[in-house]
Amino acid sequence: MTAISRVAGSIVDARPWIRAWEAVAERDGLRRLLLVLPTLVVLLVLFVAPLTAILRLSLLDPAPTARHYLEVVTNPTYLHVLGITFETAALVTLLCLALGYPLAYVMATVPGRLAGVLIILVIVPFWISVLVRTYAWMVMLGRGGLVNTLLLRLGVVEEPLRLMHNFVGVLVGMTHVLLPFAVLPMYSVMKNIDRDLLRAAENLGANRWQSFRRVFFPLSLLGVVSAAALVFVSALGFFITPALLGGPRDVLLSMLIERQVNDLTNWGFGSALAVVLLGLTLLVLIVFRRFLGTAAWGSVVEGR
Amino acid sequence: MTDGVSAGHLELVGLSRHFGDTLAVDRVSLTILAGEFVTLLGPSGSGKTTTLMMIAGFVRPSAGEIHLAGRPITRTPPYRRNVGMVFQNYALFPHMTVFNNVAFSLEMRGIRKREIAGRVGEALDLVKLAGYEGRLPRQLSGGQQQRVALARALVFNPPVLLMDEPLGALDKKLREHMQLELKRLQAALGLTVLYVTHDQEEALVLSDRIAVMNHGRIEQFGRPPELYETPANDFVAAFIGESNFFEATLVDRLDARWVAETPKKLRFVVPDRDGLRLGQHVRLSLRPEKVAVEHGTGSDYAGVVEETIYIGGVTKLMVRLEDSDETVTLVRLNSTGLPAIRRGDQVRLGWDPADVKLLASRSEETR
Repeated sequence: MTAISRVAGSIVDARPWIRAWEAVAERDGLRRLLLVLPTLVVLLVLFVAPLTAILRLSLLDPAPTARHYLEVVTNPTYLHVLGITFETAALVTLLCLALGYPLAYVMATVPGRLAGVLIILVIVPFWISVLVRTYAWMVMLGRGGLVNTLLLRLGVVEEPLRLMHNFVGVLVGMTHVLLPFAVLPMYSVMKNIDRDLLRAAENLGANRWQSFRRVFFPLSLLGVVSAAALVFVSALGFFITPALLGGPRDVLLSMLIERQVNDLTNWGFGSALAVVLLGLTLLVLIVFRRFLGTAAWGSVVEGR
Repeated sequence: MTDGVSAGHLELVGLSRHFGDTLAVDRVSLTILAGEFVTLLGPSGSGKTTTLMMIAGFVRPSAGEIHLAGRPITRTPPYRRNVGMVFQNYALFPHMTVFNNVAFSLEMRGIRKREIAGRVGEALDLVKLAGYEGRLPRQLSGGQQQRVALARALVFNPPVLLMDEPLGALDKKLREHMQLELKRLQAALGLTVLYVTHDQEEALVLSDRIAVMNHGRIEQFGRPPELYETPANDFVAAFIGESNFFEATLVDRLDARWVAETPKKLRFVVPDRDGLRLGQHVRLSLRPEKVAVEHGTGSDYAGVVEETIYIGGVTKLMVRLEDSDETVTLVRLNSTGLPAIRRGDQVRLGWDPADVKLLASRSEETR
């Protein structure tokens, strides 16, 4: 700006120009655009560009072709993997909601200081690498791991259980990693439910359970849906945890992609799988979004 | 609960509530007769809402008892108290239609669907909202939400209706309209109402009796004219309406009257009362509308108009008295035919000695 004004200043006074520029900036929201510009550039370079490359690879490797996509949708193996991926994501989502809802409820209803402690306990795992947390589970769930040692010592089982390198391991690990994603949105919605509504319900004759079922629970559903969307979509693309804790038969879509690219250097097919995963994820998001939009209570809670 | 006369009889006996070290409600005792409209009036933090919450059962009293229709309810859970309540921000269930909001209490009582429909219809008729059954609360205006809240609180025929600043969120015009409507409903249905507000005008309009609260205590409980004309202490005098307050000393006695003098030598004649003695320090209150004013000079109460404030129907005048340098505030009707009084005019003031009220000089001393 100063350089321009100096140049301009040698000809005419630059101030009217600056003012004119500011007027334009004001009017067109250009200022706001300037604020998001750095992020926009980063996203374009690091996200949109690679994505475009993948899209091109899936259609142009080695020559223009739809063969990769046909392979995905016709080969039963890949459809099976797709099925397992969705099934796993759905189960993990259910587990996260079932475990997370009571926790979020307690966090939202206990007195201030205890709530703060609970929030920290939920958030701390966020700061620890997924890899570390997954290895920790391997220590816990292995044949000679903590869980099996304990069960053997207590005489509950006679020989170690297979808790890892199978579907159980995948579920335990993914549920643990994704639990905060379920708890936090539910907590934030529950926290904002007006306590007077519960009092009103009680005043009108509802006991604790009835006021929960008729008032608190329906109003908390917005958080449940957000939590479900977040966990489900994250679970669809999960890689590290299922790769380390799963067995040879627990192949998820992300692992398939990795295998195609790293082991088989089949960039075209790997890219097609990635695009399919992305497309399905977007589809899931759209479905959740519609679910949120059509539910009458959605906008009510937003409007509060 | 079918005996309409005694059903609404509500009695608070020595009700107290501590929050940590603070005493939010301090030994409140109050008897509300069936069919009576009683208001708890006080500034924020005076304990009026906490008192209401204890009656509704949301706050457990630290001490004291609550009796409804002669039955102790102090330890009854809120959902079995059968007390109607209108919340400050209505607390309508946002995910339920108007019908379901109003029907809620009846469903909780296990009443059959057909009867529910009839009673919800009646309740909505009562508040003039028939035809709005299918709406959601957010599709209604503030005034309409207020009516739904009222219908919801009345539909199960509670013996007592509690209202926590229910008109606070409405604009002035609508608020005044709702006040009259509430009064009409209360009279027509013979409702027992305990109302909470910080708005003294609203309390005067609505109430049969008003309990003025301050620092968790009831300063005075009485009919509106009693509170206004014979306030128990300076807090009540200041909170209900405006007043001129003077610190004075009893300097002389004439027959059955006393002469009180302010430090600036303004003298008042005040009626006798038990326990007054010469040299005693007193606090006096003189309502602005009790002061007469005319142009002129040469009286004990002559002075100069320092300020005039036009408020539509009346003008408020502040007059600085010449001899004593005290300022007296008065209001004067803006009637046609009366000479206008302007700032700087020389005026004479006058009042009936009976209108000068002796107050307990500190509200604490009334205890």
